[in-house]
Amino acid sequence: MAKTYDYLLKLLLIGDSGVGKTCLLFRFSEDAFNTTFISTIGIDFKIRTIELDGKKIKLQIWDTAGQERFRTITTAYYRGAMGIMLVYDITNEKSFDNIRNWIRNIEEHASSDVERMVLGNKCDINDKRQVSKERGEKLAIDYGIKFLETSAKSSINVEEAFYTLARDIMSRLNRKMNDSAPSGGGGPVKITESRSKKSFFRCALL
Amino acid sequence: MASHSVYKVIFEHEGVFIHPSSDDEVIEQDLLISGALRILDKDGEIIVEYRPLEDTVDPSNMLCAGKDSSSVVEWTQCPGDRSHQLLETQQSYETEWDMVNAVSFRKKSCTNGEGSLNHNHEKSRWALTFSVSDLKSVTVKEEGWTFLICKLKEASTPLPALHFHQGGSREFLESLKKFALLTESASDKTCLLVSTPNKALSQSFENLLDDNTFGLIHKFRKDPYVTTLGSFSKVTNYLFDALRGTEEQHQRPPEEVADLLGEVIPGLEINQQEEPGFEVITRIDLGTRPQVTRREPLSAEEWNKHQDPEGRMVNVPHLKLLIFKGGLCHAGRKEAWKFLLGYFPWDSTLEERKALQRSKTDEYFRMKLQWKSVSEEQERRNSRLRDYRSLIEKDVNRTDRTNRFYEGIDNPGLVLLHDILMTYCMYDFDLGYVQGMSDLLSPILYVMENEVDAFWCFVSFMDQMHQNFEEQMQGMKTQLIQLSTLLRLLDLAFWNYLESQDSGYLYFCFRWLLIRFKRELSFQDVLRLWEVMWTGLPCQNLHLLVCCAILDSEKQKIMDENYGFNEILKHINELSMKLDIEEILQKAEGICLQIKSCKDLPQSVSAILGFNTDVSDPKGYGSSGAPRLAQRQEACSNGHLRETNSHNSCKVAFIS
Repeated sequence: MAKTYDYLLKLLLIGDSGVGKTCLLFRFSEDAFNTTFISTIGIDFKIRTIELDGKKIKLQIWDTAGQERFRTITTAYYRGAMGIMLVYDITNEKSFDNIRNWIRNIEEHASSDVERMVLGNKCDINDKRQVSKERGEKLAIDYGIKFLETSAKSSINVEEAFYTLARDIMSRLNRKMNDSAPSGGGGPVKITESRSKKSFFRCALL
Repeated sequence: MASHSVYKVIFEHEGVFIHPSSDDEVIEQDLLISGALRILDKDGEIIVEYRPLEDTVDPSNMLCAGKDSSSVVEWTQCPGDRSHQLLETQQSYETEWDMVNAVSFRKKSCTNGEGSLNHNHEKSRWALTFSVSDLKSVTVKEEGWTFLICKLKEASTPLPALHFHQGGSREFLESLKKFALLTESASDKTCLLVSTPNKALSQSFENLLDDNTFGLIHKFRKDPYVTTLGSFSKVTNYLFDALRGTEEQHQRPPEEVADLLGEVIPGLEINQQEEPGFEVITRIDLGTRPQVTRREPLSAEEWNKHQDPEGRMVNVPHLKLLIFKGGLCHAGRKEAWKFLLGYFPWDSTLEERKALQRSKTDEYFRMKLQWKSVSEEQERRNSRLRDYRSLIEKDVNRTDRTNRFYEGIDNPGLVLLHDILMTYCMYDFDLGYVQGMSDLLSPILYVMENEVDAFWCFVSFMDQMHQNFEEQMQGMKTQLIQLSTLLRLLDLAFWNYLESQDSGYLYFCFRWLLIRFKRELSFQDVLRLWEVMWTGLPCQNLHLLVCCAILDSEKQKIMDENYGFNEILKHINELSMKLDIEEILQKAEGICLQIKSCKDLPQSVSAILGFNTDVSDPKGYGSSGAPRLAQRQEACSNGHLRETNSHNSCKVAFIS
């Protein structure tokens, strides 16, 4: 069977309830926008394979429930994630304020070298905007992470966001591989999270 | 009322004495305190309780004494310090769970207990209450009679000795063994070390992402006997706690490991072979699964036949059976659901129900007015109300929007959904609104087509589901453990497969359990499943057998295709809207009958499905204890409890 991808990256979408995590994922994986919204209960993931510098990158993107009550369950999935999208809703001040809490949460529960990115979603609804683009940018600068305003509905910056995160993860990985094997030219490296997958689930439930 | 019914007396023995020591100046010398010793099942938590005779008045008060007002504290030398300590451990326990800005709340049932306890303060000086999971050891001594000294994990001071002047100590220990593993200490033969496997399990859940746990498990795995267990890595979790009590013993006799294993996995028998470290594992033979048939839905006409002239429902067990077997036709639901959910008492007359509805209507609108009359200013200062409202608004907009009752922009169904959920926040502000609740309300409102009735039916349903949504999600944890127990009994090979794919915790069933298959079935099928479930037939926790039935249909594919952790979750999530409810119910009932007819059923399984509960004895007093004990002993002869009588001094006994 032909190999369908060179690398597998695990990404995670987090943020308050109703900011549009599932819609962003749906836009990116199916290139569609579903107006019949449904809240996420539990956890799910979608797959899309993209191409970066001639390599096939399989993105496995996990979508989580936003309410705090479920956070103990969702944080179990932080382990093994190589990239995390922090999503807020530009028409909802509170969801923006909470980004700081989410970042703290990542620091506690995700691996330290996880790539992060902040997305201000629903930028198509400008007339209801409560969070200016500048504030989003400033927050991102404070934490030294990248930022984009997106709209899953109008398909603005969604591709860019996921490609950027994937590219950042890949360059980090390449740096790591060069560090450990300076001669290069080794066989293809499959990046998976075998150890961490076990551990984050080991303690996930029961 | 409801909060009292969850307590069950598992063991009770009067004539147990405490001998106050001479330096206890309050009590005259030579006075013996006589009292009753009980083991209670408090909503799944097993509690040992001692009450002096004159103090045992109202069982509801004593049952509420629980952890919060822990009279154990009175036994310490410096009570102040200790209670502080206890409180601290409890808090840190909680903070592990609540990652950010958690709001904790106490269980309702505990509040009224405190007052009554203080009231009886002097008398309850000798009262004791502790959870079996907090018990560290029990020392058995003889002095012409038997007396037991219980020691708690958190405390250095032992509790006062319990003197069994009128016998009963053995029975007490036997009862205790049903819920805890008692292991003779290597250093002191009279000392039984106590460990509770379920606690170990939930601990690992609570120690979410706690690296220390991995370290310990890793270290533990170096134990040669345990390493041979291979794919039973979950067992290490159970064993870990059991073995920690006897840390000083480095070498574990193989037969003991086998004993432990046999006990922690229901339905397992381990035959030791000649070769050391090699074990053959066999299963309990469940027998064939009976084929069952389902019936047509109960018509409104048939329903009416079960009503007497005043409107009382008659022959209710038969009626429930008909509903269990076929469900209800849609026209009958509006009425029948109110009974099934407990909003209407089955034996109420039409007049009584009208009166009930009137008073419930008043009560509803009184609560509705409470949130309706909160001004914007007030709400600005009430972040919890604001958060509830914002979540409800978001979720109402995302609940069953393709259903004609909730579709479109200005559908009145949406307003009702919103208002009922807001009013529920006023009804139970501690819980407030948690995602998933709108899914539970939507079908009820759809059937009731009436705000007030829908609210009270929802309240009844939430009474059953409350624990799933609480801060600690205890209900979810319990259900996943229970489901895992059932799966291991039904198909150990499949469970082992899941375990080998890191899926033994059954997390992929989370959505099924949280909202009772609401997202898995078509709207009409949800109505069918729920009404069948609410009959309480053919056993309790039917929804867990529904899980087993669905998994039974999927297991071959999952194993044949060699699905891993991610694929299993994906596969299960994608079953949504592809399931056939009648087929599932048929299978679930078949599984129930199959399990019921098994004679070597582990106690844990009987407890989950409620096979031991004597329905004619609602309080669980008296008769229910006896058959349980009998069954337990029967289980012993089948290898679930083995005694090693040779050179090694360890006795292992555990019936989960």
